[in-house]
Amino acid sequence: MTDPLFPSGHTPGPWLVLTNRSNVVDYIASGLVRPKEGLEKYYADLSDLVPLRVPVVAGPLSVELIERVADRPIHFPVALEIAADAVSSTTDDRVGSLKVATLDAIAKVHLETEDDLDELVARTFDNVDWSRVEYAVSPELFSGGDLTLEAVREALSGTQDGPAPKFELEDRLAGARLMALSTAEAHHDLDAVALVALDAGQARTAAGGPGEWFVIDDSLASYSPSEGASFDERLFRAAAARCISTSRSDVWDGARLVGEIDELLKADHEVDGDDLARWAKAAERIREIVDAVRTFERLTTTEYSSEAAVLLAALRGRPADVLALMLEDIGGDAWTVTAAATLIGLVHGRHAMSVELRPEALDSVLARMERSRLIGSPWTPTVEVAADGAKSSLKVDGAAILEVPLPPKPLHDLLASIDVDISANREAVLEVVRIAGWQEVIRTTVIVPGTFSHTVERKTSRIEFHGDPVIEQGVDRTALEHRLETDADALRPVLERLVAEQHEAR
Amino acid sequence: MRFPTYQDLSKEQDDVNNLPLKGNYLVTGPPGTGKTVMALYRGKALAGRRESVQLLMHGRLLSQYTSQVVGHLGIDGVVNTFFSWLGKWCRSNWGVNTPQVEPYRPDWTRIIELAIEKPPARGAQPHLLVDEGQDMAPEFFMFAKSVAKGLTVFADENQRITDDNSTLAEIRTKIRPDAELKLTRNYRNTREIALVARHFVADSPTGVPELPERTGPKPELAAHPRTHESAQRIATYAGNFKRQQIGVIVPNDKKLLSIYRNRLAAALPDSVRLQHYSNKGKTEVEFDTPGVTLLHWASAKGLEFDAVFLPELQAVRQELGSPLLHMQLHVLCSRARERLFLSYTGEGRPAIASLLPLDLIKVVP
Repeated sequence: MTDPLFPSGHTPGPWLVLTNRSNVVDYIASGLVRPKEGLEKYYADLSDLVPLRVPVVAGPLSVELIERVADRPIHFPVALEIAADAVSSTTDDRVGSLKVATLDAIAKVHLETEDDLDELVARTFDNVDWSRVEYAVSPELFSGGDLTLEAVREALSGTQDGPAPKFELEDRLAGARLMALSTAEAHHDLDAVALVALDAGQARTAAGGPGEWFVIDDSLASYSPSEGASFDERLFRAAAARCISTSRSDVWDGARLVGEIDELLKADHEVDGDDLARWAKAAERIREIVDAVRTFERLTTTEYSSEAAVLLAALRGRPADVLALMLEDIGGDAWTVTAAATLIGLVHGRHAMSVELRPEALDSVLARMERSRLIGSPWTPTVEVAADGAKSSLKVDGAAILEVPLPPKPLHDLLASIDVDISANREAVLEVVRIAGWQEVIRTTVIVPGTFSHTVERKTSRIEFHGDPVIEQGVDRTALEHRLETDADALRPVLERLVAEQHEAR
Repeated sequence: MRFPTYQDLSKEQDDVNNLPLKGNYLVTGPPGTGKTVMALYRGKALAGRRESVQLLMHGRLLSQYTSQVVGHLGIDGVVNTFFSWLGKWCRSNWGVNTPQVEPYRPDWTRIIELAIEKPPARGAQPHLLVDEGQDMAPEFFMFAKSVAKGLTVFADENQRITDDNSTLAEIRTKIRPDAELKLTRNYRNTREIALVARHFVADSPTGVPELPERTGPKPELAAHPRTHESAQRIATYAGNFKRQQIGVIVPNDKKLLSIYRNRLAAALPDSVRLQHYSNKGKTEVEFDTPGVTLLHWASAKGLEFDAVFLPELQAVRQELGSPLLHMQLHVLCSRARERLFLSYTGEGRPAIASLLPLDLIKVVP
């Protein structure tokens, strides 16, 4: 976590980010402690002194500093205790700073009084999970300090930063990653989407489809596709660029999105006339559906993935609504839903999204990734996908952050895995293969307990058995496996017939 | 209804949301500034501390809609009508029915005497939140202050029902608030919808909130040859946007409502729920779930939908100059959070269209 620009040094007390209750809500919502420039709604605190840095001061705090950030009774002060290795030192050993920190760097959130703690966590926000940090009531930290505002200002005056990080863009991209990962279940294959969303290389599985060119990175911010990009990719990139520039507080306007994409594609000289004509038809259809003069029931088989994704995104502007498409019978493939969800993630960003859509483990990895990108530090986690029984897990640095159920085994695989040496199983399998007419799979053995006699009359043999024969039937495993390999489709009507008979019997 | 994200709230809403949980406060603002929503959030914050809290609403406001919203916020039991709560208070604390000078007019002199004679035990004092405080009598606030642990009043004197109710000055005097905050902006509608809605009450004495910053598509005015096409358009919209809450508000005409119910039932996809609401009937309607809710103009007050359709404008029989009609159009248009569709059927544009600000509306031929 150490900021490479400033090595950390010795400090006399705990390192504290002194702010007020409102900015803390933003920190917990985003999972990131960010400076003034990174906050959409900022309430004055010490970051005013260095808008691209979060000042950190050694406790205990002075009255002068507290008065700078707080205005009781509404805006009471809050102090975040920060791990020393997250803090960059300055010329004053009582003052440090950080660029961006994740919640992991917060040892505790200190409040001056029990009432302040009560007041802070009593409010409910859709995008805040208060349990993600620890709290302490520590009145001793809020008095007794002698650090002046001027001393803090002077210590921070030596900090130099380059251009402002793209806080808004990185939040949008993190929102897109979150949404794309949330569709992993539709793929039944975490590799396909997870590694792409986390920018972890490999994973180009869907040859010819969006899987070939699907990316979530800052190249989406402006429409500038590579020379050889397909029309499908160009359309996705045009939509992504427009989604990033959309204000999430405005009502989602699918028709406006289509119009803006249209402008970008028409200005792109690499898009040929056939593709433009094709897009014109698709755009017209999307507009008619959004304007409710045409009914949308299912995607067609002739749509490009990006056309379908734009249509779905135009209809479902809210994150939860677009994810609900996974439960609806709309046709299309999993990449279409992933691309649509990604577009809506670009509109909303991560930190304003409901915590219901942000499982903690996944969200904290996305916050770590966002921080790395904001401070220009490489993010090189170990990302792996592991299958475990009925589920597949996405692990980052060994910790599972996302699990999706594996697809159910096909019927023939299930049948092939049945142990036919067990009597009850054998009878069940025999019933199925009899109905299927797979005679060669049934192995019949006749056991005669006594002797037999053999006579020949007029060139004909006559064999007589003595005793009561026993007939045993079993499954010829080799024949069964051959049938399952070559004729598995026949199983469905068999099982359907069994179900129908069962229904009639009831 | 969901809780807001931190970013959803403006700074003036933050201030109201962050008012200390202890103490007495007055929050004012014109209609549409979200006083009731902020009262509900405050109710949730107080209820989460496992202390007794009551959000009191004037009877006419505790609609089925509000009750359901309260359920979704997880604060069942917190919201009561003023009269219902007062009755329970009198019985449980003093063993008497509400003293009244006449039906539905509490005898405040006697009630305040009782409050002084038999004050509630310290642990039994509730936090009281009062919505539409201007509709309560000034004496109510004397009583409330004497029995409540904390009191927050949301009010707008411009909306007083009669002169018997309270001015803001009277409320201030009675509750002596620790702080007074003002909500100024419309947070329900888009700017485009708010512009159309405020057109009908431009000279309103009740005041209008500042325009919202949130933008969206322009409201639309469409002409349909027949009711069939009008209903079909609504059904197509509802099928395409099946996650939205859609209100179809028809002029007060039983036959018209019945026609739309039948047409929509036939045209809507199976996956879209159709409900019919009347604030007078006993119909159970789920407001806070996606689908189409069909209702009369008269039942629309206090409700909100993602999209609102106002069909059959030609069937409105009121005088065009009637202030009531203008107020109704304001109320109807401002029910829409995101999309607003006005339409008429038949030959020619009806006279009522002349009341509409067509420069603010997308007119569909």
